Amino acid sequence: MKNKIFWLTLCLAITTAVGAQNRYFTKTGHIDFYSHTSIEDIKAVNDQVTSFLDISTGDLVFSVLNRSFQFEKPLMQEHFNENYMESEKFPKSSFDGKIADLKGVDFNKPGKYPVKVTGKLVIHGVTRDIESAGTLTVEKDKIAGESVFAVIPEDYGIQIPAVVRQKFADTMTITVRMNYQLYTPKK
Amino acid sequence: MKKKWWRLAAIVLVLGLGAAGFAYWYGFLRKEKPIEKMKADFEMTADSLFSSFSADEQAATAKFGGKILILDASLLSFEKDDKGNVTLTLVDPMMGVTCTIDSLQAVRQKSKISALEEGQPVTIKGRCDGMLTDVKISKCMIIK
Repeated sequence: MKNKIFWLTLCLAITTAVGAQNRYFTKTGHIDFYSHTSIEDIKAVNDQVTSFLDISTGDLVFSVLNRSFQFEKPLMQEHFNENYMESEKFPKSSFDGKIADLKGVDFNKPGKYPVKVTGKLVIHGVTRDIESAGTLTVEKDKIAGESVFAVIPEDYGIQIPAVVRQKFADTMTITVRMNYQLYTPKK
Repeated sequence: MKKKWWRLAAIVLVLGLGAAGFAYWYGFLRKEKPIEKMKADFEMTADSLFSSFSADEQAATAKFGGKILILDASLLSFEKDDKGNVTLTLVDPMMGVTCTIDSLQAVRQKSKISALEEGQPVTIKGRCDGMLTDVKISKCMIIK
């Protein structure tokens, strides 16, 4: 149900964008997560992230399909989808929030601006408030956003059996990189 | 009698080593089967795939999620990102079907990608991951 609401929200964002020049989007955003222990490094990459940024309000949403995360080892990918993320039951992860200090960004002046992002992160059907530092790089008709933050799998109800827990770091490092283009609605 | 035990121990040892070797290969050395060698679960048009998701996303995700599809469509647009991944947009720029050819496959299919033209009919094979605003197909390759 939550996924459906999120989808409808995105659709609304698109339809209300008609005539507006303040919405940016990408369908090929990047999110990766990384875990380092002395036993094993685990990294997965998703380059099919959909995200919208409204520079007039600071609204920021992104959504990913868990199945689109690519691992180096097929067994890791199988465990990720079947045992940890339960991708059949929870196919999507999402973020719905805002750039909190939008006034510090001049979208008419190219440059790199530090920002603070706050909002709700939904993983494995669990919603939690998060706050993260990031940067926005402004170019003509393009904006790049980047942020790195940490999540604890257990905070999102992801159960990792004790026998393999030592292979995973206590916190996973999440890196988000979006290259937004100006959204031009169809005439 | 003693000879029988040795024979049994040798068989157990060989089976044990074989099982350990298989487990090591399965967990650490096994590579993902290339999309070229995967059997397609469904063949359809990109339009009808998107229609299925629009009509009932949950049912379509259950039916097509994780499955290998062969899709016929008219190529709306395509772009290459800075990592070498190539994204093909079918049906609609925002609410349609998006197919991603990863950078390794893009190298293998260099000649087919360089011959792409917007508006041309294409046949794509890939894995359906589900729907965001668009239906996402990953691990794609161009058949024709």
